[in-house]
Amino acid sequence: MSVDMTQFHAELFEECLGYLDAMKTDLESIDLNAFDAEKMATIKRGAHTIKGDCAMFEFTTVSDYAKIMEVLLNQMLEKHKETNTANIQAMLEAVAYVRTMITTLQNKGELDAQAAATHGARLQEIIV
Amino acid sequence: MVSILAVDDSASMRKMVSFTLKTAGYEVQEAEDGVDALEKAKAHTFDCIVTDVNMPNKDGITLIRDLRQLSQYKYVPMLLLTTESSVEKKQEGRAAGATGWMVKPFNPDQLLKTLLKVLD
Repeated sequence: MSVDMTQFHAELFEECLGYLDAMKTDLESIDLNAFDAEKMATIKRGAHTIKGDCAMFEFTTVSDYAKIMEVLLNQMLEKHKETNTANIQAMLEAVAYVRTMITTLQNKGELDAQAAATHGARLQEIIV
Repeated sequence: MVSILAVDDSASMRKMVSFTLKTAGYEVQEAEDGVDALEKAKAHTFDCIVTDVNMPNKDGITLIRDLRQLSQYKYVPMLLLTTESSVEKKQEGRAAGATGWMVKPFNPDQLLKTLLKVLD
């Protein structure tokens, strides 16, 4: 069966932008003195959903990057000590980077997979 | 006509799954999370449940566990769609009562093929 997957793209992009908005708001409201596991789990779920959905629609550059975010958010969730100002800032920058990728796709632009991989590697270095 | 409940918190995924199933001739209703799905499943008995795992409010594994407690869903096929591929998670799904497990990404043909298997 042939299904035109492009018919779902507009909805996918809007949805991803919605998740990114929510992730940004939650990240900005994290209180380092009172770790909120539920909030962190919600942020992680946002990255997880972007990863899965973008992979389904073959936007692998975005899904590969979101996978790194998910792994690191999981680390922050499981090891509270690694949730610090620098890590949150790095994650906010990652959220902004994914937003740029999604808006590029919305505008029918091409993603730079190499730049995304480099950015992802840098993100991994900052937090681990 | 075989009726299927498609559950996913992602609207784009839900619509893609729903479109694929409807195009293949199935009757489909959508639910946006486990709580919504449980309500719909109580109001109408479906012939099959296709659900995402990671969702807010009630995840897919808990949904299946809850549905299996209802007599009308004891033997209904339930398919989990997920990015998780770990053996532990699969075992958790099986223990909850899942009939099948499908790892994302997959294409519409793979979905229909797997669905036919679990409906067989």
